[in-house]
Amino acid sequence: MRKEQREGPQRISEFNFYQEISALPSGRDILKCIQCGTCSASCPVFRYNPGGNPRKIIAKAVLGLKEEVIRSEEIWLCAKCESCAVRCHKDVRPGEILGAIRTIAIREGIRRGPGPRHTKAFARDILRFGKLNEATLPWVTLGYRMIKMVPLALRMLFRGKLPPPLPRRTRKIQQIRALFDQFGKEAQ
Amino acid sequence: MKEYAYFPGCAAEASTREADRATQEVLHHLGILIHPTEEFSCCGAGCLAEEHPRFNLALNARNIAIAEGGERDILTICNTCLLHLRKSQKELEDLSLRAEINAQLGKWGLQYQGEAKVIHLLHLFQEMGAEKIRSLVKIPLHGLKVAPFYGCQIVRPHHILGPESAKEPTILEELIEATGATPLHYRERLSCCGFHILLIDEKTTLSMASHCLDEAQEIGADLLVTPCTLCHISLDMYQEQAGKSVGKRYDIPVLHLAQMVGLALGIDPGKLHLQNHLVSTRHLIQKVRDKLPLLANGRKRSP
Repeated sequence: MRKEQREGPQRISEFNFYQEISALPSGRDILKCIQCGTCSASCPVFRYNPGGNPRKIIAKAVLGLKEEVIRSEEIWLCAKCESCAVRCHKDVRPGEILGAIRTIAIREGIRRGPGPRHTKAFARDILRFGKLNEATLPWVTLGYRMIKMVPLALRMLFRGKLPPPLPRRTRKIQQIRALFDQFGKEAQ
Repeated sequence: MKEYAYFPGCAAEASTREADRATQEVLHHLGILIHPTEEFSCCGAGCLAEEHPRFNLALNARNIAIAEGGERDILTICNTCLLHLRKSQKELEDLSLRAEINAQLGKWGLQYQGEAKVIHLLHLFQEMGAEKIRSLVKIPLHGLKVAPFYGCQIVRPHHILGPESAKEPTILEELIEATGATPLHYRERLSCCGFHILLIDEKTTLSMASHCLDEAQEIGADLLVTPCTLCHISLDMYQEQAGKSVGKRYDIPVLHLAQMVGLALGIDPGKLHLQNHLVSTRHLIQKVRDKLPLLANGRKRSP
């Protein structure tokens, strides 16, 4: 364990984590953060789930705790309400920094857990239908735990609200696939 | 009158189809032409932008270019679609990026020029003016206390949504007033319903939704109205569960913006698909019908 910690290259790459983040357009301003905590104070998720603490996640990222950050479930706990973006004095847009961290997490191959599964469902459905498939999203995100949604699904069925099993496919979907071939693959 | 390319969003084509139908009904009634466009794809909802930022941009450039091809602006009824289409527009101000994407789009006769506007139904009503709506009201909703719920992504962030998203917007209140109902002022009108983590952390979403519903109930709201199809999912579909999570029972119908305006314009509640909501709208429909024996197809109901 100690030997691993002493290994140079790994530590350097971790130290560079903030550079990796600031290289992405959405993570550009990470070093402007002064850790004032206004983001966490404005965060409605943090009010109910102490894990969703944007200030703390940014602090860890700047410290270079890459593995810990990208493997945590907390980075996926963002309701995208943009409260932090409008309140941040330094114009850091903490929500977008978390987005950049999630981008890196996916590129590093993080697949497990509802967060990454939910995010990855979009690209998959869009390539297949051009749209999001709401009917399968709970299954894709939650796996067998979606069973708890059955009562809700039944109520939706009675009210004519259940999503169709397949979304209506976008016309000329081959254009979307061609765009993916050109713009989607190189980033990976 | 201006014509719009209609971009209802994935939710309005799946679990909140009633919003789509009500919008089409109301705009038809107002004589505003919208063109459902089958070539439109999903906006990516921010998730796609995290996995494939460049693909997401190209995808939205294509969506907007399709509207521009028909010389139309885009009209959406989903706050998330609004924000992410506008975000892409902002990013496409980078001309080299735009040229690169246009080179591909050009093969299909499409060009992104950045000329089409992306607006939400709320902005459309704002453009028409509350006064104009007031003059068209056939069934004033007097006596109904309505709590406005804007939804995050139509008011924040200002650097993308521009001047339309004032820090203290009032357009929804003005529209409620125009329909004859009483707008209520409460703290949570610009709050977050928690929809975007609904599947990731349901417990937190339910707490967030119940916080908003709590406030609305406390000030005695007869109903909530929201312009966002996604807020509708957490506030209506998950209302019962949100109540259970805090040991309470809520009974607050949540209306889509188009449904509220449609009711006041005298459109039959059935055509606005009020019956599709999970929170019963029966009392509300009854109230509206009682008020209006004039209602065009005024079916008699046995007492």
